[in-house]
Amino acid sequence: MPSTPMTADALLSVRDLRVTFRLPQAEIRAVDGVSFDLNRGEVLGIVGESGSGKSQILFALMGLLAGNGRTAGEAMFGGRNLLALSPRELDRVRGSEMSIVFQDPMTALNPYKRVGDQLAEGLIVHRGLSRDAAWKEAVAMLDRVRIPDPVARAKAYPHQFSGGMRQRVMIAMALLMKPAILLADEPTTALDVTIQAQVLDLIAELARETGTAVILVTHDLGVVARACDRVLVLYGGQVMEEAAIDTLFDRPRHPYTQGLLEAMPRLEGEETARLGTIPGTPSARRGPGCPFAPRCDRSIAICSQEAPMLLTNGSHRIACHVEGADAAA
Amino acid sequence: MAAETENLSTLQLQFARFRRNRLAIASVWVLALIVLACFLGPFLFPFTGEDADFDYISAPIDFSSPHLFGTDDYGRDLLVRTLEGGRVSLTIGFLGALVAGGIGVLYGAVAGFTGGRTDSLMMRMVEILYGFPYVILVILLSLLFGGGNVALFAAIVFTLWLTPAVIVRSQAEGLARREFVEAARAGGMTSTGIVLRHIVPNCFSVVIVYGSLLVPEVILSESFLSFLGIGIKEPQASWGNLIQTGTSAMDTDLRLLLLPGAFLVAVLLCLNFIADGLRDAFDPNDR
Amino acid sequence: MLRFIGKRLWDGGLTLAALITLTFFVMRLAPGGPFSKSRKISPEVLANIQKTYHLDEPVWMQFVRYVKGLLTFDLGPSTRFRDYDVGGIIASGLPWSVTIGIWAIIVASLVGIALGVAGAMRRNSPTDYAAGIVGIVGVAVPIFVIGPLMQVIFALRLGWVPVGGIEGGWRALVLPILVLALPNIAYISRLTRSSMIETLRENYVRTARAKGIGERRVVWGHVLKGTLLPVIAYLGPATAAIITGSILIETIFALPGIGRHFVDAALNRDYPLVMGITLLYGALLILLNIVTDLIRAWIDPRLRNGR
Repeated sequence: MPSTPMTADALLSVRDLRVTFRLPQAEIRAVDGVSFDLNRGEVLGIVGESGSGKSQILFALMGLLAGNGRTAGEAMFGGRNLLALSPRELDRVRGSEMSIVFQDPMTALNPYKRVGDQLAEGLIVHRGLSRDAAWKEAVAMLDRVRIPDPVARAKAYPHQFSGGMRQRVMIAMALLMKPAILLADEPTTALDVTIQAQVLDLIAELARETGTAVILVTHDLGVVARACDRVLVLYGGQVMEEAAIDTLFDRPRHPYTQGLLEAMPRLEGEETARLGTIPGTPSARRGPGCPFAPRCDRSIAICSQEAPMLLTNGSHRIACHVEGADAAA
Repeated sequence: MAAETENLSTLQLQFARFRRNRLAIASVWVLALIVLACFLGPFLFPFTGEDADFDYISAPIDFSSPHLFGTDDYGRDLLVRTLEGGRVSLTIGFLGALVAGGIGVLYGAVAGFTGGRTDSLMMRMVEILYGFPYVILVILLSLLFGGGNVALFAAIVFTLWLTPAVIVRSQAEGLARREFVEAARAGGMTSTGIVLRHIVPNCFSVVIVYGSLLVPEVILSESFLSFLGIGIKEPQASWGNLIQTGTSAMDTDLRLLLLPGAFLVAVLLCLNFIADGLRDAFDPNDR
Repeated sequence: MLRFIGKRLWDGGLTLAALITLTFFVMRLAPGGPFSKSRKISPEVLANIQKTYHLDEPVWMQFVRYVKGLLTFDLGPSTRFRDYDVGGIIASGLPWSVTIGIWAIIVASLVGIALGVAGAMRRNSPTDYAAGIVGIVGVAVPIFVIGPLMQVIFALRLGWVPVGGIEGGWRALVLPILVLALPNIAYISRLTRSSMIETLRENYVRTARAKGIGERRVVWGHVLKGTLLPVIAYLGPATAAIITGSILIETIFALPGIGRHFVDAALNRDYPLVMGITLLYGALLILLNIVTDLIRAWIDPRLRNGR
């Protein structure tokens, strides 16, 4: 079991997390034995292609999986296993100690309620504030996420906001209670490119101010480079590589990570170089071996027969038969 | 061309999905049985539903007598009358749905395809007609057409084509902007040709789903009016007027109410199950 | 908001005008006049009667006269009940129809929504199946079949309520209201169920759950509004269904409401009475559709400045 704890006092430690979805015809393993730690105040990126199971990790932690989803494993947070909490205990954690920003701000806010009420709701329930006091805090929070004229805007409905502004509202809602952990599920994907950087910086900045640790799920390495301290590379529901941000960008070890980096456009360097691509598409069929083996140009015989262990070298972890072998050696 | 072959295969898929719905398939069989009984059954008896048998006036259920389910006050065979009434109700139901659906589809297809001012004018008219209390309209119209089967039929059709028109219009509006319609137009096809060859066939799924809901609606309207004495009139039988006769005798003899009532309820149940099945099969995003 | 109401009122007025015109000419063009049944009348008397009812004038003049009368809320005299005017007949029948109509809507909404919500919250449970059966029965068993059956069971056999008529106070109205509500219970419960299932899948409901405010608050504060929007939109058509139904109900249960008057009037070609009731129904329907739209706009802010 690759469950060696890396830091003794991690804020959140996830061990061997599995998420499965039961369908009429089959069972889908979306997350397949993922372990990681989240330290206080850090921004952890989780990168992967669509379907790599990265969002489901967040939903599992928040107890928001679809009705046919099941979890296994352990996610220790403040002495409690998040995966084993009763609905009532879970509700005490969600929204106050741990909150989430979703991908699509256009549909994530209730169209029938004033923005101020949607923000105030959590304060009223978790902290027992009066409606007036909660509104006051909500307005102050809207101001902090730089929504102009927050007093008037709090009275508006979501459809009166632009996409970027709605995502700011979502961030305000998530950070309102100063949670220890903020989960962000592709928070900038649905936004205009010009807004993406602003929203990202806002999350990083506010998290630093409140001392909130962030898990940032994205498919965009540019986002990772801009905001994260440490990165988890996910493929087929399994961790391929984990490293500090500089290590990952300077010395990527796993063939998949290398492929991802080659597929990323850069401003500096030879301009004529073609962007790299990873051949093939992620497949749902899963053999016993490494999930990336079918698309890997360096795969050897053992890759499709046996799953590689996640080997640790300092703070650098990698699951690969080819690359991992000389790390251990 | 490509659009048509693609259509065919999704159609087959949809029918395959329908066939897996056991309740719907059972309903198809029961309905077929009732239709067969209504149209062929009366020929098995030596008398018609309008022949009075004075030896058996208000006879009770007796399977050994010539009148299996007994007779009414005039000595007319109840079972035969019910079956004959079914003929009328079912014919009006299916034909009415077909005609109302046809009118609605064409109207909606033309409006949605043409667009612009014609469209808004045509839909405005539909909206105004929608504002009318439907039953009142049927009653008024059947008075205008002077009563009788044809009048009743016309009145029902006239009031029921609106919903298919609205549904098909929204569908056609989207289709009119699609590439294959663009291609047909560029290829010199006339607007009539495009509406008939491309728009109408591509609305097939929606039409099937909502058309199947029209049939029970028409049958219900017919029996409703006949029950009130405005639709099919004595001595001709229909389920509506048979039930009406049954209610006036219900304190002494429930049989007169129950037999035609059971037939009507069975048919409406089957049609609703079939419509549900079709909707699930043809319109999966509805759930 | 005011513009929205104004536009809807204008549209409604247009519909009503079309309804008046159509009804008027349909009634005049229909074969057989109000007095053609009673053959014993001599030609002179007939001419005399026609004169009192202005039936000797050209149709368009009758129309102008009628519209003029409408503007002063004068619906004209009934041709069948010689001593009554249409307004009076409607005024005497309306309270009965309105009473059973409103109660039927209330019962249908409460029971229908409750059944639908219960079904959606516990899908495929016994409650869900029971609600489904009520739904099917209500849709497939017509009022004029279930009505008489209920009369047989609860009035004739058990004797709990009167068979019909208005003697017996509230007891006399229980069956008519229940029977009238049944098809709408069926429809509203099906609508509520599918609408709620859809709403529960909305992203904003997930957001609400993520706030940790408890399932009850999620359902009452966030799910219910979205669920009820289509249900409220159905209340307009439901009124139409109630009107349709009340015609049958008043016939079956021998209640002196305007639905029964309408059928009698139609069968006896009492033009002014048919016209009057038609207009009343039309106006009611239009008004309720507007009210429905207003309630929806009140719930859904996105509808407020639109259209």
